[in-house]
Amino acid sequence: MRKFVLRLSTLFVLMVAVLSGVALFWVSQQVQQLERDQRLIRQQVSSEQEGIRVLSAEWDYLNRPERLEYLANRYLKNMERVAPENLLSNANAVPQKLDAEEETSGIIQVVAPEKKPSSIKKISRKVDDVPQAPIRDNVSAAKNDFDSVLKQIEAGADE
Amino acid sequence: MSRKSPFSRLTMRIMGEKSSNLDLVRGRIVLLVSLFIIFYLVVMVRLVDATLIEGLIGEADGYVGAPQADIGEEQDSKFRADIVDRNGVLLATSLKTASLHADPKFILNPVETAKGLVKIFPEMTYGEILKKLQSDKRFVWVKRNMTPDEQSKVLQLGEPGLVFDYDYRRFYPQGNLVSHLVGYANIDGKGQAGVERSFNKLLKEEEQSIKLTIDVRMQHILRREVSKAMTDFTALAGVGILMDVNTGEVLAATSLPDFNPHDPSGNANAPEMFNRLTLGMYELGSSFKIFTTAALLEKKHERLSKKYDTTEPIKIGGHTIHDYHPEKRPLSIPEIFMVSSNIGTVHMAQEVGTEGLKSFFSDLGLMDKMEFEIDEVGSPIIPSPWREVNTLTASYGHGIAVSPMQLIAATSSVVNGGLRIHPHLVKQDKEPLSTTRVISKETSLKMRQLMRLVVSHGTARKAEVSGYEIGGKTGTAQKNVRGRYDNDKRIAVFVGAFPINNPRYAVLIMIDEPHPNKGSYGYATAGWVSAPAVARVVSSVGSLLGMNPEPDALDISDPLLQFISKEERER
Repeated sequence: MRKFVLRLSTLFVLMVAVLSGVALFWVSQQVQQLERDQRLIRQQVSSEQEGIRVLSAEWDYLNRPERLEYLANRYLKNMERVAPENLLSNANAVPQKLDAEEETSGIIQVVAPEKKPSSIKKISRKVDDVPQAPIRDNVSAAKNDFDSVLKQIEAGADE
Repeated sequence: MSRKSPFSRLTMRIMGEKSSNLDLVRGRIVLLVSLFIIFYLVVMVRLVDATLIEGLIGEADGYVGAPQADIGEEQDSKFRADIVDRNGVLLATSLKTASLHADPKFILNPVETAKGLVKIFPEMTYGEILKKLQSDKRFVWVKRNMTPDEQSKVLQLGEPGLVFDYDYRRFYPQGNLVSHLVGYANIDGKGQAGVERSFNKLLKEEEQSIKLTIDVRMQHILRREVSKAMTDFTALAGVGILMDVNTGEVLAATSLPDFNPHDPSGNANAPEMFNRLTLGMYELGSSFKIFTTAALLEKKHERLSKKYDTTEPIKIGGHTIHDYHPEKRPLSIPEIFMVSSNIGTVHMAQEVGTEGLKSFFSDLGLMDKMEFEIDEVGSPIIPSPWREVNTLTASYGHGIAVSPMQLIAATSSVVNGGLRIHPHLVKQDKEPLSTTRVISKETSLKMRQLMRLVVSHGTARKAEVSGYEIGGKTGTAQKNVRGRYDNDKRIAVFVGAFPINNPRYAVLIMIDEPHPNKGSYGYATAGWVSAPAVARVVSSVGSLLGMNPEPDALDISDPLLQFISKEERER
C-alpha cells in the first residue's frame, strides 16, 4: 500500500486554487452581467440623448423670435416694444409711488408692532398723495446708477 | 518531516518504497513548477497592470472600456453636427426620424391597412397606397421621415408587413431666418449651400457643433425691418447686415427673398436662392464717397474747410457727371459729403489720383474677392482696363461693383479707428483684434464726424435714433440694366455705425429697386427707404446689445457746422 501524506501546505494551495477558480468564474459572470447592463444603459442613454435632441429642437422651434413676437403682440396688448426712451440708466429717474423710507418703516411696523406710532401715521398717507415725480434722466449717473443701487442692496443683505 | 513552516519548501514529497528513485526526479519537478509559477506571476503582474494601473489612469482621462461601437455606426449614417448661434440656439440639427416601408408579402389586410394609413397621412390617396400594398415587390416606400406622433399611430395599426427604418434628417428650427448663411443639406446629408456646404466635412465627421457669430434675435429684427422696407416700397430684394466694427463678427445678416431650408427650390437661379450678401455685386453709389473722402483726408491731408467748385458738370470722354441737386457754388468738404455732391467728390478723386484711389480701395478690400466662411462669395467687378474716367465714376460708386458685405467691412475699417477688419461668421474663442492700419486715427475721427453730419443735417436724417448717435452715408445708385443706366431702377443703400462717438456696431441696409409710395412724396432714395429702416433696427437692437442710450451725448458733427453755409444748415 502506498501511503500518501497530504501536507497542510498542499491542502492550502489546493484550496487557494479552487477558491481562485470559483472567484474567476464569479468575476467573469459579473463582467458579463455588467456588460449586458452597460449595453442596456448605453441604449437608454442614446435614446434619451435622441429624445433630448428632439426636445431641444422643439424648444428652439417654439422660441423662434418670430413666434414670440407674434404671441407677445397677441397676448400682451398693453405692453410695447422697448424703445430707447424707455431705457433709463439712472435709478432716480424711475417715478416712485412710495418712497423707500416709508416702505421700510412699514416692514418694521409688521415685524415689531410695539414701535412708536409715528410710523403708523406715515403709512396712513395715501399713495396718491405722493407727488408723481417726472421722469428725469439727467442726474449724475455715476452716483445713482442701477449698479450702485444693486450693490447697496447686496451690501444691506450681507449685514 | 520538517514542519517548521508549511511554506519553508514548496515541494511535494511522495513517501514510499521508491522514494530514493523519485528523489532524483524531484529536482526536475521543482524546476517545472517554478517555471509555471514564474509564468503565472507574469500573467498576474500583467493583469494588475491592465486592470488597476491602466484602468484607473485611463479612467481619469475619461476613457472607460472599449470605444463605443455606435460611433462607427453613426459615421455611415447621415448624422451631421449641430450649427448653433452665438448663444447656443439651434440653427441646424440632425434628428433621428423613422421612415416607413412595407413588405407586401407580409401585409395581412391591404384594404384595412391602406384605410388606416390614409387617416394618418391625409396627403396620400387611398388608391395609390392600396396599389403599393398589393404589388408583387418585396419592398415599397410608404412614407419617409415621419413625426414620432405619426409613428405611434402607425404602430397602433399592428400590421406586421409595415417596417420602420431609422435615419437622421436635417432640421432647421429657425426656418427661413438664417437660410442664406446656414444653407441646407440635401436628402443624402450633403451640404448644398452656406455653412452646411463649406463645413460639410467637419459637420459629418465631428460631433462638436459649429457656433456662428449670428444672434437670432437681432437676425429676426433685421429681417423684419428689411422685409418691411421691401413691402413699403414694393422692392425686388433687400439686404441687411449688422457687424461688430472692431472684430468683424457678423451679428446678423439677411438677404431677402430667402428660402425654406427644408424645401429649397430646385432651380438654382430662383431669386430666393441667390445670396445677395456676399455673392451679389452691386454698384453702391454715393456710399463710396466715404472711401473717396477718406482717401483725400488720409493721402492729401486737406483741411475740411477746403472748397471745391461744383458749378459746372464735369465732362470727360463722352460722359457728363451731374449732381442730383446742383448747388452751383463752391462747397466745403463737409458740404460735399452732406449733400452728396458727385461733382465735388469727383474733384476730390482727381486730387487723390487714379493710383492713390485704387490702392486705397485695395487696402480696404474692395478690389479683391473677400475671404468669408461660406462658398457663395463673388469677386468684385472692377473696370478693366482702369481709365481716368473710371477713377472719376468710382469715386461716387459707379462703374465698380462690390458685395454689401465688402461695403460694410470697409466702412467698419474706416470708422473703428482705422484698423482693417475681416468679416467672419464662425465664432472664435478669442476674437482677434486687427493690427493692420489703413487710415490714421485722426482721419477716422474726421470721417465719423462727416458721417454723423449726414444723419444730423444731411440726407439720412430719418436714420436718427435719439440716444444712439448713428452716423452713416446714403447711396442711391441707378441700376445698370444691360449696359444702360435705368432712371427708374435704383439701389438704395445706407451704411453707418453707432454710437458714432466710439463706434461698436456697423449696420447696412440695401433695398433693390424700391418704388416711391404715398408716404415718401414720390421719392425712392436711400434717405427715404433705407435710412428709416436702419433707425428702426438700431432702436430695437440697442437694448439687446446692452447699450445705454445717451441722449445728452455730444454731437461730434457740431464742430463741422462752421463749414456749412447758413441756408444749408437750415434746410
